[in-house]
Amino acid sequence: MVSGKTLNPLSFDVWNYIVLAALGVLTMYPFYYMIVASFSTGNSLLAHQGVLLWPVDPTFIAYEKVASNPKIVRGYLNSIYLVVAGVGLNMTITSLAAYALSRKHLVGRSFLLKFAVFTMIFDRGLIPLFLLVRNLGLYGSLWSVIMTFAVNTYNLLIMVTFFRGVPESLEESAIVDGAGHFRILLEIFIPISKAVVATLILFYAVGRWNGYFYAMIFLPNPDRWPISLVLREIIISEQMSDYLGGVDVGDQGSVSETIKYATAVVTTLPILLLYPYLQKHFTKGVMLGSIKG
Amino acid sequence: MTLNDRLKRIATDRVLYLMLVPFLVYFIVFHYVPLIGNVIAFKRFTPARGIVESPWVGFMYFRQFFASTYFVRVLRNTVIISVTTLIVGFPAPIILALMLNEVRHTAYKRVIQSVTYLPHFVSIVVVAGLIVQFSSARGLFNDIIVALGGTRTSLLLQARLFVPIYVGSEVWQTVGWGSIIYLSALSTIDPNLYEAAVIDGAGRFRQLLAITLPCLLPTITVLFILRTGQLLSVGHEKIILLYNPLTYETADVIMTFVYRKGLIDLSWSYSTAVGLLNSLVNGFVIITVNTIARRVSDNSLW
Repeated sequence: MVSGKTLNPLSFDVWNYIVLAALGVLTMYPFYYMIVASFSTGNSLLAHQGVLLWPVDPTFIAYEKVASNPKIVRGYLNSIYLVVAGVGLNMTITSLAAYALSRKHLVGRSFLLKFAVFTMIFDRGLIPLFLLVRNLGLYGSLWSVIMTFAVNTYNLLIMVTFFRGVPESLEESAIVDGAGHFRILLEIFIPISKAVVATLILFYAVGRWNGYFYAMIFLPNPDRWPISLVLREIIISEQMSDYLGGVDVGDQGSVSETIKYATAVVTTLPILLLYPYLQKHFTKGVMLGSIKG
Repeated sequence: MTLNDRLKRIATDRVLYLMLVPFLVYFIVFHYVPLIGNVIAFKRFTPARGIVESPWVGFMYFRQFFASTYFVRVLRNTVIISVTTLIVGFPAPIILALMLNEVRHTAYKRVIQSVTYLPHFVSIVVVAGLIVQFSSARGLFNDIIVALGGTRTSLLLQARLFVPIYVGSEVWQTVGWGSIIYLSALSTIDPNLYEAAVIDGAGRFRQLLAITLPCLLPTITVLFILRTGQLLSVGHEKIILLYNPLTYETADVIMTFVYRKGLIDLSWSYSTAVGLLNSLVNGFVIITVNTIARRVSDNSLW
């Protein structure tokens, strides 16, 4: 450790900037590598050693294969379906419940909150959940994944906290105007809480898009797989045979190497495109969560 | 409030209860029913017979698990992976936040923040996929090892390397995101404290020790306590993507074992028993830790 007296502020600042820059490079480089590799020729990429800064023998072949592969395209569509239907259900149940649970005079409010929080403390169990999904006839359907994660308790608590802060005067004047609870929620609470609504939509959407585990156990039919699960087959299990249609036998090893990267890029693309927006709202969400206390 | 008043209240609020119906149905059907479904841990369950008809066997599956060689292995691996992640991963965001806090250029600071938050949003499958690619015999990590004078090996096939790879990637993915909460705590420190310290002749390192760290300590304490509540829940979703039979010796944790026994070997009751044990211990630890957190500060989960 450097002692207080010998610490030269200039040199400390220089080192601080350098270490932070190094951390930045270390964080970004794997993603940069992934993108550059996806535009390279597989055999040249495999032969290349050391740091990769630019595509080697640039080609779009991997993306041509990805865009024309029915499994990948279907995976993408399944993921979009999961996000749209899933987040729709998430937000409907979460905002309805958060509104009711934020009413201070509601009889049983504290019990109902504990009822939800209890599930954060004691996990429902993987096998019992699996058996339940099978008994309900959801096994094999995308709705298995959608329904089993219909509410995230943490997100619910964030929304309850936020709704509690809405001035009562707004609600009272609406009641005087003859508005019911559904209208108050839709026309006053949701618009006034735009920031928290956006945050929760993003929390739910990113989780839905990125998740693979429950899709893996509930969806045996590859036609129903989200893109994350297709990527798992390609890159982790290295089951490539479905993805190399129309590639000469001699080139299959080469192309399969870059298809892995191209699929990873395509899977990450929506996140990267939304990132500036995501970052703003997620940061806010972390704060809201910590304020809760 | 008398019972009559309560009933009146409930009657006037019936629309609010109507709004809670989907919430109640979800938690009852998808959380409390499976919680009760854990009874199959005490039965010899077969799908043909169903939960009700399957015969009771008491604690047989628990005894079987305690007597097996897997018990020690999965418990040891869970604790080792979890504690290592805690030791390396807990201080990392604090240090990053302190470093970012010293940066005067707002733009530079913002760029580093944006960059280090990014991995948090990327799918675990993409992260694991990159690890698999980089760790392969012809991958990037091996290129670096060779450049440093080592020899090429498939890194994910070696049991002794699993924990470093897992923990390293975990810290890589979470350090930036974890720093947010400390940065927000740092931003609430009264600037007058620093001004007073400068007048007293304190250097920057002295200010760090005398002002910044003490002000950060409550946040650190609470986050540390809450973090220990997750001591037995390690990221099995990531481990399942990275491990293989050659590395089970160091990589197989309680939840990966439950997954394999239950959903691949189809030992329903046995794996439910192991999972139930894990849930109970986790729940107990969370309650204990939260009680402590509430005593030492006003920050807690509930």
